[in-house]
Amino acid sequence: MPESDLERIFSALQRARVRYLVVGGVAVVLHGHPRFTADLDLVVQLEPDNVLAALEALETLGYRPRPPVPARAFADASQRAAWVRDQGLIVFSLWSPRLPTTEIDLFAEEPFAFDEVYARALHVDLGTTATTIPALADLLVLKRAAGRPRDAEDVRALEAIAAETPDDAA
Amino acid sequence: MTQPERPNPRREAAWREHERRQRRAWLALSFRERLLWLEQAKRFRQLALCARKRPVQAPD
Repeated sequence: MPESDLERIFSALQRARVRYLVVGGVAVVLHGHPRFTADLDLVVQLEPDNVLAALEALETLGYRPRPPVPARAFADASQRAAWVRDQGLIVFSLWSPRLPTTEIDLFAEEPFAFDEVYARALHVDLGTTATTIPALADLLVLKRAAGRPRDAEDVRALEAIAAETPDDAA
Repeated sequence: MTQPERPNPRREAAWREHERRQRRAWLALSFRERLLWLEQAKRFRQLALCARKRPVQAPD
């Protein structure tokens, strides 16, 4: 079976040994709630080398920034801080003409203590590749903090899953 | 004016049970199956969007 867009992205990040977590709708689906999402939200650990590795890996799939700035600028902490402060940037969006239906959003700030959440993260084995998603309890914290209507719906679904799979939610 | 529908505990319990069954069926899928479902949903949406843009052919 051919690799899906998401598997190709995960493979590229895995080959480059990027430390990242899938959050957002894709993480919700992987935790067991079927809901639609078109984009892939990633929390990449914001160490310069790690960010550069992520950007280079995604570049091999044709990903480039939505805003008219060089991709590498995102690896610069002071540049990111300026975008967050002056333009209210939350995510840095990337798109690829080769994978046009899968836009990638990179969080401009780590929305949690990355190392702690990464240590508890779930390793998702996809057969030919793998990815990492926050543990159910950590994803719930993130979703409750986001507070949009869709997040509230996700929280309701994830809480129901947590009630059925107490080991995962611990 | 129509009266608001009275809560029906049996019906609500039946819906909850239905949702629980669906949830268990989903949790029985592998991670890859969940991911492929999402990819299929995206393709389906794309096809639907393209179909909507295409004008309906006029009869001869």
